Amino acid sequence: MSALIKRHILCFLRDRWSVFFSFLSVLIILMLFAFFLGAMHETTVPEALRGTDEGNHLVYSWLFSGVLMVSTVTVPLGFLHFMVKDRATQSINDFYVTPLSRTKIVFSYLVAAILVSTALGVVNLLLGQVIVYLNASTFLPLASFLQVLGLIVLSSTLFSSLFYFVVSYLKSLNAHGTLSTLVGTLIGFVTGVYVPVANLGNTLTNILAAFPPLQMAGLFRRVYMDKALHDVFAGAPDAMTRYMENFGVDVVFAGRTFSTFELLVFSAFWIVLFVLLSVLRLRRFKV
Amino acid sequence: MISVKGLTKDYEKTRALDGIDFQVSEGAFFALLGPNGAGKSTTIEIISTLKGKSAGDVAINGSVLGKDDDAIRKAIGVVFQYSTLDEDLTAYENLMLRGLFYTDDKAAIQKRIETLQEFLGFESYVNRRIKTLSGGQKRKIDIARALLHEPRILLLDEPTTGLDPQSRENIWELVLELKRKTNMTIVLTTHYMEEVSDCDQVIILHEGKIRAEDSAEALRAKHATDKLRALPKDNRLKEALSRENIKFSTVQNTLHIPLKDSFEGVQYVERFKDLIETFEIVKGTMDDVFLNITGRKLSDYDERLN
Repeated sequence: MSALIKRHILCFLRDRWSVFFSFLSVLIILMLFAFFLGAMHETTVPEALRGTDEGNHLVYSWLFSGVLMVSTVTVPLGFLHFMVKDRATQSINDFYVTPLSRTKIVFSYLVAAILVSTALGVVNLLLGQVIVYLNASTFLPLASFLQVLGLIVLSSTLFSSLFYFVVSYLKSLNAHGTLSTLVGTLIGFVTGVYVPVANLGNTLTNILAAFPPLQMAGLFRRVYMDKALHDVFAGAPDAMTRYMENFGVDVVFAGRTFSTFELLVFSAFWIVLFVLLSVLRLRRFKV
Repeated sequence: MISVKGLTKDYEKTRALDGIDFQVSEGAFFALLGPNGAGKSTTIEIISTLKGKSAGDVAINGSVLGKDDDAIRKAIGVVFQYSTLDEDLTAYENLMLRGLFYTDDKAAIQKRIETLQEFLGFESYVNRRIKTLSGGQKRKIDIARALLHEPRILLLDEPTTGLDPQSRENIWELVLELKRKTNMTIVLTTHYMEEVSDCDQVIILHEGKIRAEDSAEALRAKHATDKLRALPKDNRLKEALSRENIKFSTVQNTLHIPLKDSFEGVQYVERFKDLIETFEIVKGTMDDVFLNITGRKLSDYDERLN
């Protein structure tokens, strides 16, 4: 199966447009941040700390935790374009006539999607750290850095399995393109990157809190922003709670804030659910 | 080597294959001839384990389809109608990665690629990306890919379809050379009459049923007649043929006289030489065979599709 995974990854990396479009949402977030999101977020920092390293650390940590989250959603979806293409062009038949088992062939796309998303997530994390350092003269503490790495793997696995299941129903590249556009447009909203979660209203926030994107975004923010939050809101726990609720650090469902442990359990649940659904779906792949 | 009995394939509303039987012996050059929709590709897809069958039995080298599929997959190499190569990878990368589906021994795959590039003649573009190659060059790499694991049986599903005439001829020459040098069992599907002329065994498939089976030469002898095409000097040739009860048909200004064999044509020419401006004796073609067996010309299907 490793040769097949290598093939998928090599094809993805050679197709510059696929790589570009996988990152389009991330690029849009960075541009929006440069134009107005950054300035808007600046106003949420206590006045005394605006423009200081602590203040900048909060703003840039919020930005890059969102970027990491979004990249682990859009990269697997963009990558799985190859699965749709291989099926639509019947190139997958070339693998089916080899002694490789169908299970291995079909799941090689999932494994490759997780690997690519994780690798590009790590690249995003490192680039993000450089930018955070340039603006806030600080890096993530080692323990948080390692936790974020773990979250990249977890989020890549979750969204790869989710989209793997969804994409298995798509029969044309056009359908995949439409789905990618839809996800790329919505992901900034449903994770509270374009608009603070609090601005979405109670009903929508409750609905979003029940689904993986906001839950995973909350996990990323909790770990990535932990130091910045404690530095900026030291001695002001109420202000910190308000900020965490407004900006999607806390995931609140019907007035109750999910704990980190609960969010991790939910993630595991989603992964198991989508992998199981994919296994059931796999049986229908046989002609 | 390949045994097919009562093979049937039903789709929701149509029956693509209707209980076909055939045997392919080791080293044979075997062709399935028929128009698009005859069931040729479905047969190849079932034999190559891609599609399930609705009924019937298929065995390859004693391995039973549906039970010993892995053994069958190791024994066959498949060249599909469409290229399955990765356009953004080089020919070498395509072959190396696919070689790894069969063995972990990279050195052995490397050696095999070198042998194939020498045999098929793609040294000059082995390191070029597939998307930069011509249709004929891509086809050569498709064939190399099918031969990577040294299969005993090569399944060629319309290997020259979509190629320009020059590339078609080159690829066909390559297939014939492969046959001569390796003595592999080759199963070919085609709707080009001229391609089956070189085959030892031909099956004419029409609407999911086998309509005829024999060598190309025997089919021609049984189902096609040679013709004398004569351009008459004037009306006297028609009158003379009618007088002597010799059958003929008129196509534009030429008279077509069916012959038992070529020698009969020579006799007619000798007898009516004063009435003939010019002539040619035309051997019966596989197109005639198809027409006589199915009641339609194979070229009619191509026109309908175009």
